[in-house]
Amino acid sequence: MSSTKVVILVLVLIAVVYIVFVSRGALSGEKQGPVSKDEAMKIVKETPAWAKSLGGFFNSRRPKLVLERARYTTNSEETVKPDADNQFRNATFHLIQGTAHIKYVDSTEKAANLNKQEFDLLCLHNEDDTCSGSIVALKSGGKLTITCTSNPCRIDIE
Amino acid sequence: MDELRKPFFIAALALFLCVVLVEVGSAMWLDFGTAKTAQLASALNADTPGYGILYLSFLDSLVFYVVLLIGLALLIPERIQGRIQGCVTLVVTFFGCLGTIVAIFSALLVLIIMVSLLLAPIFGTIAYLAVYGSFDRSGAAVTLSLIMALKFAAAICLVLAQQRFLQNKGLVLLILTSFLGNLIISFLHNFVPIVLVSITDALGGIVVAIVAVIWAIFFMIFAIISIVKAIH
Repeated sequence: MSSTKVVILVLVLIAVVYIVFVSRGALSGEKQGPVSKDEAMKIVKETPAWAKSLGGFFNSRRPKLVLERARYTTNSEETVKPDADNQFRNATFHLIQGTAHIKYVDSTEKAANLNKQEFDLLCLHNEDDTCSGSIVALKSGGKLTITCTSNPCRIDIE
Repeated sequence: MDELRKPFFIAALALFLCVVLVEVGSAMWLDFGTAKTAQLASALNADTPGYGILYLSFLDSLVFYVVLLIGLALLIPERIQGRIQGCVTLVVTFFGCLGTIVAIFSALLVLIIMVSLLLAPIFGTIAYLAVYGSFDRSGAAVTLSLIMALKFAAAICLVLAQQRFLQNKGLVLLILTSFLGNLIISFLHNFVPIVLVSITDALGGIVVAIVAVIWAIFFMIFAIISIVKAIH
């Protein structure tokens, strides 16, 4: 087979594969995911394994929210300092014992439903277990309140 | 038969230039988010992604540069071109390589933020969905299709200009890599759930940029060899 024919064949193959890819996207008809708490949990549950492994790989490099302590056993209130370098800083709370309530109020203006972040930590050993939860601190920082709703309680920070 | 058909060659050159311009300009007309998410991203001063198509320009700039070098041979005498080509290629690929590496790290940074937000329920995921959860998949598909069509036309014009270009394995491989880059980005845009497209788009951009760096290093080595030969 001449080189011209090989090139034509390759170009046709590329075109066919490309059309298949584009058609797949066009026919999926997906819309942007809603941003309610329940939908967010559903999306995390449905996240493919490759994305989770990617998260594990990048975990040590993510911008972390540094809190005063790594473990909380009593009610606590602390101010999260502003950080101009990081738009998003995560902190994940793991409930080890008892039950707790986490509330974070961010000072950033127009941050929609990220201004007030609030959730309960309780381990019920069922499908909707909320043994751990994360908050996101934005550039301007804010105020974090940890309330132990049972005694004793222990929360570890990742 | 052995002569270069200049009109086809100039058309190919112009089309490759158009490809690069469309890729670079894509960030201006593609809206990678709804008005609501764009407002939030702007309030948070967060970068919204759109790396895949933009980073294709690193690879396609190399294609354009190689075709331009072939074209310059028509205007500049062979003796002079032999002397300056190595130096110019070395400078272009060196700075191109540096720029691409910086771009890779910038995309990597955003990728780390996106992935860590997505996998930090509840509020990390909400933040991810609010800022990065939407992607203009149809707009990106239209742009990629335009780029693909331009590349096809350019490749055909190049063959029509001179069939012996097909014997230039380096050029053929580079153009095929450019097509492959398009396919990779298209695949990553269309084969994942819509909420993950921002992540796969950044991933695709990084992959394409790494391929461009490999090609740039390849050209840099040949440029150094050519300079050493010219000195001797």
